[in-house]
This record gives sequence, C-alpha cells and structure tokens, in this order.
Amino acid sequence: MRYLLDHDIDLAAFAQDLCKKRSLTALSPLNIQRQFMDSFDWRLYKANVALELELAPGHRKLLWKLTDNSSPDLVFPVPRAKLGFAADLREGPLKDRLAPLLEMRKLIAQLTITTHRQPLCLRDQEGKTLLTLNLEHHQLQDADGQKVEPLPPCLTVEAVRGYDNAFAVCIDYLENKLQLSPSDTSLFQDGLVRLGRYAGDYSSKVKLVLEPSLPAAETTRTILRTLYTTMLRNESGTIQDIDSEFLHDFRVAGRRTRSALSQIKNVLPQTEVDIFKSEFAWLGQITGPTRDMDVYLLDFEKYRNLLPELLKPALDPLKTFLTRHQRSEQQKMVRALRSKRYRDLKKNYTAFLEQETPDSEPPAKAQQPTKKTADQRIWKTYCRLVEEGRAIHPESPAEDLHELRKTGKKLRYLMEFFQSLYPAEDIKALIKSLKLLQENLGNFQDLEVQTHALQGFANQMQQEKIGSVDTFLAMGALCLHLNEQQQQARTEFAERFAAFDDDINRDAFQQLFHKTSRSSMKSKG
Amino acid sequence: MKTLAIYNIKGGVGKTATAVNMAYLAAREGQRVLFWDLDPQGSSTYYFRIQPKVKGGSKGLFSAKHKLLESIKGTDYPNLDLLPADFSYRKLDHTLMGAKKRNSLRQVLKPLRDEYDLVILDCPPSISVLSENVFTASDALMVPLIPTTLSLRTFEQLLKFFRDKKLDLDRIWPFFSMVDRRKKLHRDIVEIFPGEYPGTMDYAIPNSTHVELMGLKRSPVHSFAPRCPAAIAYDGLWTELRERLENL
Repeated sequence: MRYLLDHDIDLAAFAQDLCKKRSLTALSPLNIQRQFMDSFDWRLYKANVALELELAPGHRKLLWKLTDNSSPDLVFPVPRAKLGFAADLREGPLKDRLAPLLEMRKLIAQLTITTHRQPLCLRDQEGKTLLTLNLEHHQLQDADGQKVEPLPPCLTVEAVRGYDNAFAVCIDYLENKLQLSPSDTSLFQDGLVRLGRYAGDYSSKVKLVLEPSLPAAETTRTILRTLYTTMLRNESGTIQDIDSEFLHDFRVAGRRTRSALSQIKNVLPQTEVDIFKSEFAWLGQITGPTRDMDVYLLDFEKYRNLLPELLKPALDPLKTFLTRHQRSEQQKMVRALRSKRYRDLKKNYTAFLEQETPDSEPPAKAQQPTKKTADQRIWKTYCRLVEEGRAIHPESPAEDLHELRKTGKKLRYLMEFFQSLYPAEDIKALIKSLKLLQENLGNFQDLEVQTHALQGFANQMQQEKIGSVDTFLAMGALCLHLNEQQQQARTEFAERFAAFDDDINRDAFQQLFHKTSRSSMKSKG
Repeated sequence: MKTLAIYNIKGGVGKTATAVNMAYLAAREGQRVLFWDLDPQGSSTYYFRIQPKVKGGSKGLFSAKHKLLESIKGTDYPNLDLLPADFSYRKLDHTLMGAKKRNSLRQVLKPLRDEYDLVILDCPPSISVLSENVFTASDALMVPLIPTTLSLRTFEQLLKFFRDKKLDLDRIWPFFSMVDRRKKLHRDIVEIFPGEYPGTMDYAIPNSTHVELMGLKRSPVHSFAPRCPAAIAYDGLWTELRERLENL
C-alpha cells in the first residue's frame, strides 16, 4: 500500500508522532539509489514484472515484484558485476527467472530515483516484525542521471504474511484517522509520467490506427514517420552497442521504410522516393556486416550444440574470430553513422516527412482513399507471392526461394502497416499463415548464407592464424549439419506453401483485400 | 518445488540449527522457502520469534488446504516463510495413523508447489508414523551426525528402516555436525565414515559457540556472525546441498 503525502510535510515530525501513537520503532534511515530495470523493449514489464535495484551503504537489494501483486515480492542478492545480460549471471534463481524473459536483451535502468527512507517497524513482545512503514522523500533523475526534481513524498506499508490483523489496524488508522488515500499508481509510474513517458512506451512492432478514407499520401507519411521514430529511438543504442537488438530494430525499421517507399506506389513524389529508397538501401548495406556478426554470435551456442561433445571446444576460436570482427564492423558502422551522408539523409528525410502541402502535380494515387490503396497493394503483392511460389520446384535454385522470401516480406510489411483497416481477427490469421511460410523460407535462406559465410570465415581465420586443424574440422562438420537442415527446409517448403496456398486461405485473402472485383486468384492446377 | 527433511532419530545433533541456517541461505539466494517446524518443542519457531501456534492444530492442517495457507507466517527474512510448530504436533502420529496413508504429508504439501521452490521440514527425533510420512514426502533427507559411536549406531538404524521399507537409500545425505577437532575419535570418524558411506556430504559443521548463540540471538548464524567458522562451514554445506538438490 502506498499513500501520497503533502509536499511540505515534515517527515521527521510525522515519523516521531507515528512512533509515539502506534508504538513503532524507528530503524536507521537510508539514502537509497533506486534503479527500475528492464530491457529497452520492456520485456519484464510485459511479463508483469518490475525489477528494482536498491543500493545504499549496507543495503543492496534486487526486488522482483509482480505488477499484478499475484505473489509476494522476491528479494535477490545484488550480483557483484553490473546488471546487464542474463547470460552473464551466475546460475541460480535470478538467472532462471530473467533468462527466458530477457533472452539476448540487456537490462538497462529505465528510471533512477534517489529515496530518503525512514523505516518504522511494528514488533510484538517477542521482537518479531509484524509490519513495516516507510516514510520516503524522492528525487527523480532524468535519463542522463543529471536533472533532479522531487516527486511527492509517500508512506508505504509492507505487510508480513500471516499478520493480517496488524495490517488491517494500521490501514484503518492511516485511512480513517489520518484521512490518507491510497495511491493507485506506483512510484515507478509516477516517475515515468513526470518524464513524459509510460511503461511499455517502446515496441518494435508497427502499431498504427489508420483512417480508411484519408488520402493515401497522408497515411503513407504517417507510416513512414512512425518507422522513422522507431529508427531514431534505436540509433543511440546501436551506436553504443548496448545489445544486438538495437541494431536489429534499427535495420528492420529501415527495411520497412524501404518497403513502404517502393510498395506504396504512385502516392508520394517519385523523384524523392527514388532518392530515399537508395539512401535507405545504403543504410542497410552499412549496417549489414555488423548484424551478420551479431547473428552468428547469437547463434553460436546453437552451432556448438550441433557438434559432438569432442568437437565442441574446438569451435571456440570461431567465437574469438566473430567477436573480434563484430567489434571492427561495429566501429566501421559507427563511423558511417556519424558521416555527413547519414546526417544529410536524416535532415532531408525529416523535411520530406514534414511536407504537408500538396505538390503542384500530385502523384496519380496521392489522393486515393487509404483503404483502396491498401487493398490494391496487398492483393497485388499476394498474387505475386502465389505466382512465384507456385513456380518453385524441387530443383529451383536457392535464389528463387530467396526472391520468394523477399516478396513474402513485402507482403507482410504491407499487411502490418495497414492492419488497423481490417477486422483484427481476420488479418491476424492471415499474417500468421504468412509467418509460417516465411519461417520456412527464412530458415532456408539463413542456412544458405551461413554455410557460405562459414567457408569464408575459415579462409579468413587461416589468414589471421586463428584456430587449429580441429577448429576447421569442427567448422566443416557444422557446414554439413547446416546443409542437412537446409535440405530439410527445402523438403518442408512444398508442404508449407501448399498450406498457405490452400482454398480457405485464398478465399480469405480475396474476401479481405479483393472483395469488389470479379476476377479472382485461380486455384492451382 | 523440492522438499528437504532435516532428520535424525537422535536428538541434540544440530538438526534445528542446520535447518534454520540452510533455509536462511536458500532464501538469501532468492529461492522461495517454506520452513515447517514439525517438532512440537518448537525450537525453530522460537528462533524465528514466532508464536508456536497453528489455528485448528495439526488436525486442521491435514484436513483443509486453507488452514495450511492461513497458518503460514512471514519471517523477518526475505523469501522465507514459516509454518510454526504447535503443541498438538505431539499427537501427529495419531492424526496420521487415522489417515492410514504414509503419503498424507506429501498430499498436504501439494498445493504449495507453485508458491515455493524449497520446503524444509525440521523433524522431531524418533522414528514414528510421522517420520515415515516425512521420508515419503521428501526428495532428500539431510542427516546431521555427531562423530560418536552412539550417533553412528542410530544412523545404522535409519538405514535398516529404509532397507526394510524398500525406500531409496541414495536420498539419505549424512553430514558431520558439532565436530570437535581436538577429539581424536571425532577426527577418526570424520575420516573413515565417508569411505563406508559414500553419500556423506563433504562439509562438516564445527562445534561452535556461535551456533549455540543462535538461541540467544534468536536468528540464523549469518545474521550476527557471518564470518565465523560455523557460518563459513554452513556456506559450504549449502553450496553442496544446492548442487545435490538441482541434480535430483
């Protein structure tokens, strides 16, 4: 329970009064630095968890709270090393809880508050604590840990299991005698609000609510602006290399931008569209090698586990090689992200997105209602995907499957951009069916790239004198495994595509995106 | 959820001290621990400064799930709860005999599965219907042994009971407690016994004034003497115990 107190309250006098009237014992006051930890994309919050680090001389606690209060708080010892990746934690209950939620993401302090806390204890004649009251003053820090501003002082009541009566008496006193009202927000929420933020204020997913009748040009700019915001929010984490997912989300937002620019045709001025398409393609190129290295490092344990026990340690030099190259690629990428070209891209693109006045000669479909554009673009891309998919046969070259994957991605992005224009359940089901196909195509392509990359790495490692004969033997064995998996993915393709291209799915696509037209997508054969 | 019993047929072997310190160390690491003081003498309950009283007594605990949940008390240590002792526990044998099942205790603990990671049963000495229930309900038994002939004799009795009842002997984990290195007999037994009983735990707890002081301080040894030899030995014993529990 938490009660807000007046800003000008004299906490010492209030504490003294409470102690006298309620037979409480004052414990030593503490000045605590409190960090509210989560991943950048709020993975703990999404799992109903609030993780709070409390640091004061002689007081080091890591509190694991469930935001729905469905079970009591857990207290963990604070690890010696700075909190970051779950993988770096010692084996134990904290790692067991954090690892599946965080995966590859790093814990960051979403909010920092300095609290002056005066604990007051209610004890029985045996000296057993029945409940604790904390009188607290708070100072909020901003993201840079610089600006400090006060938050309202508060009183919290910590109940102890099995001592309900003591708790009820205390609450009755606070609410009926002192006329305090319980707060329905947490300190963490209050702090975020003061910074103009809220819990869960970042997600890499495209969540837009679009208006079907608005001109397509206006909607497209809204989509592009949202993607650009996501990109910019990941920029600093990408440059600092906080964790691999900042770059991943930065790249996905860029790829979606490219896709929106090229797929939503004849809506925005073509000359500028062409320029930005090429500039965002450049952005994809300069960030690609670092992402590749990140992916190999993320998958490293998976690779190791494919090998027999005897060969596993032999693969370690590959990790050394990947780590080293990840660092150098990261440095190269950071240089590019600090270049004039990138700064110009941002400046010009911001100006482009802010254009509101219609051009003198607007593109043909600029004024067309959004829904019509969405229907047309999704239907057309869907037909292309089906056509390309049906042309695939067991001997088709890997490039054909790669092209099909790219078309699938374009379709998925379009469906995600315009999702809010369609009944939620219907479009979700279709995106899901597409995801299943994409998963297979993604696997196939990744395995193709990885096998070739491993061959390239082996050459480079020899030149750089990293690894022994056993290392190359292990890498060879790994290539064989990856190749086997790739063959399996190819075998599975026919089945996955048939499931995507079945009558029910086809009708559903038609029903949702091509209802008005007489022509329809013919079934296979 | 793992259930661990701290048990010996013989009393005065350091059972309660071990149970309290193991529970404290497990909770300090972030495990959710429930400590059940099954001994009507209520020594552990006294250490935790909690009243040795359970509403409805032992009968209530074994008849209704809510009685068990209502009786749990939070201790002064994070993540560590206590199911207190009650004078009615002296009649537990009678209650359990009425239940006619040696897995009644296991059934009672079932609803706590999601709430706790570890349940520690601090058992009274003697061999009884309750002990049999403890053996069935526990994943493992830690048996404190003072390195004396008499103590080893009672350990043999426990092994014989397990053999007779066809229970799994690998779940019995003896360790030495109250070891006085100045005594030759203690040194000899500590050296020879693990060869005869390979399941013996590596860490031994020395005879210690600090452990005796737990009664006076009414708290685990780590909370008032975290660097004394006994606390260091308990740290080692806990590390070994945690590994064994993980590998069960």
